Amino acid sequence: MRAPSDQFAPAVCGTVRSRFADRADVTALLAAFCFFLSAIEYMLPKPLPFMRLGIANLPILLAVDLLPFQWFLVLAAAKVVGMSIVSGTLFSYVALFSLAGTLVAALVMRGVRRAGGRMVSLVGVSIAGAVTSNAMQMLIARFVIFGEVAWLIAPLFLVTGLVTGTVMGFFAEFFIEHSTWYSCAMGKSDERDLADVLDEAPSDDSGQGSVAAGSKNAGLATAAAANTSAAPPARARKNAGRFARRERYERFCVPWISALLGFIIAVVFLLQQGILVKLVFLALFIGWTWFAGKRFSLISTVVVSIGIVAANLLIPSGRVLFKLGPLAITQFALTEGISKALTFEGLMYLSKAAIMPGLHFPGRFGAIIAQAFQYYDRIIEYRGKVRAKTVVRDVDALMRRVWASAKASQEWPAGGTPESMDQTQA
Amino acid sequence: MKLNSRVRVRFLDIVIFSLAAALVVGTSLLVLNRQSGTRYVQMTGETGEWIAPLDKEADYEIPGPLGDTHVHIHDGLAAIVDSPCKNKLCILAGAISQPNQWVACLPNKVFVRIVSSSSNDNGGVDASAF
Repeated sequence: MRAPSDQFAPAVCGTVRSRFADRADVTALLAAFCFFLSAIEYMLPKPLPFMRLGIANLPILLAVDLLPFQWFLVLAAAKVVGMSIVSGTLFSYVALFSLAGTLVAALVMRGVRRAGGRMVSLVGVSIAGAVTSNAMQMLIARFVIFGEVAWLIAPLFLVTGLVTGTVMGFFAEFFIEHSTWYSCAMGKSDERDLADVLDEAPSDDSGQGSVAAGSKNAGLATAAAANTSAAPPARARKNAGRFARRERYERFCVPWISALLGFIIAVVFLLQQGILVKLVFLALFIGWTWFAGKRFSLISTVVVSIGIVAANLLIPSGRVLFKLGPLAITQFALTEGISKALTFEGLMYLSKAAIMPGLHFPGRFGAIIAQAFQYYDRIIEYRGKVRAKTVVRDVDALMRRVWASAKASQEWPAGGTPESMDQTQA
Repeated sequence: MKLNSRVRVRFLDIVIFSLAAALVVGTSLLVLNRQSGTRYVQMTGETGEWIAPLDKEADYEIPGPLGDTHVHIHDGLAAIVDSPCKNKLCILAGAISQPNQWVACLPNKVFVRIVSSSSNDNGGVDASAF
């Protein structure tokens, strides 16, 4: 069954092909998928706070062959900035981890692809990227949060990179082979029988209600919609209160002033040495986050903090306070751990509170981020299903629909159309 | 329509996978080795006990009945550099670095010893034992 309003269907890529020449637009769409996948990743349970599957790197993996080098870098940067705004971590260490990991992985992936040519597939590219990204994040963890003990979790981090990198690589290879969108973007549509794929595409735009929240559809869209559709009454009430606070806050606060204020406070906060002062700051930041109507979890804060303190205690240093079995709890290691945990969590809350979704960046890069957020909204509003069984086809349908719908509405950001941006770039 | 396909694994994919796997194994071995051989300076005074890693530069003032004994740790060596005792034998004893080596300021009741997290780390054969 053919999707009636699918703009890809009648002329395959014909009507939209010219848009693929617009690198800014393609970059924005891929960046939007980075944001979306990182939001999905955020919702998945993790065995360790810093452990990630790396699914948000999939669009970057797809872009290795798709985008010219400078746009490829723009995509990596847009991913970091956009993700930091979505999760509100722009001023925290998490953004630092993300920036270093993503940029190094992007460069390595590109380098491997260029050097390897036909000898390497996206599987190898993905493994190289994932492992270097995790290694880079380990180095930062070593010098910023955990200290020497970070080496203890290094093998675990690298193994995770190896496994997820392999899986993502296979998925990406499989995806590009079957994706109509990718095929159009690469200008290869004539070589394949796209009609087949399109004929089989699910009629995902019939508008017959919300994204299915059934157990069979444990897919991407379901996860995004779960918050609103299946919340129990108590939680719904709590959320309603939070949304009301958020609305009130956003009415009175200008995003860029809030961000600037947050940045200045972050610098002041980082200069503090005393644990008590840091604790007071943290309490204020939590209050601010609550007031701003942002979602947060005190349990997660406590768990992560205990993890950071415990990691620091493993290397004893200073006066022995007491002994827990073979482990001596030492004063210096304890205060150092608490201080690092307070800094980490403080920046996290400050960032959450100060970064508002309406934050815009100036210039052409800002326009791409804004464009990506518009695509992101389309992805979240998408009414189709993404099933585990037909994930490649469903995601491809999602990409085509989001791509086509943005064109139909012509909602280009202030500062010119992507076409004009591309011309100035060229 | 079923999407039947097989991803073609190329030569360099296998090379990269092997390199990454080797990195994982290498890091694991390195971590095991490093962790089991970590040496600490254990300083015991009249009022308590202090522990510090031997590979991190630090200064400690250990209180005793006569005053503070100053222990300086640097470049994998630990030494008493100042003590309120009369004969200063503890300072003359020099720096220690091997597991179970010790230096003490007996009048001030301060005892400094190197300990290792591994029972195998005995710092090599002590020739004077033969």
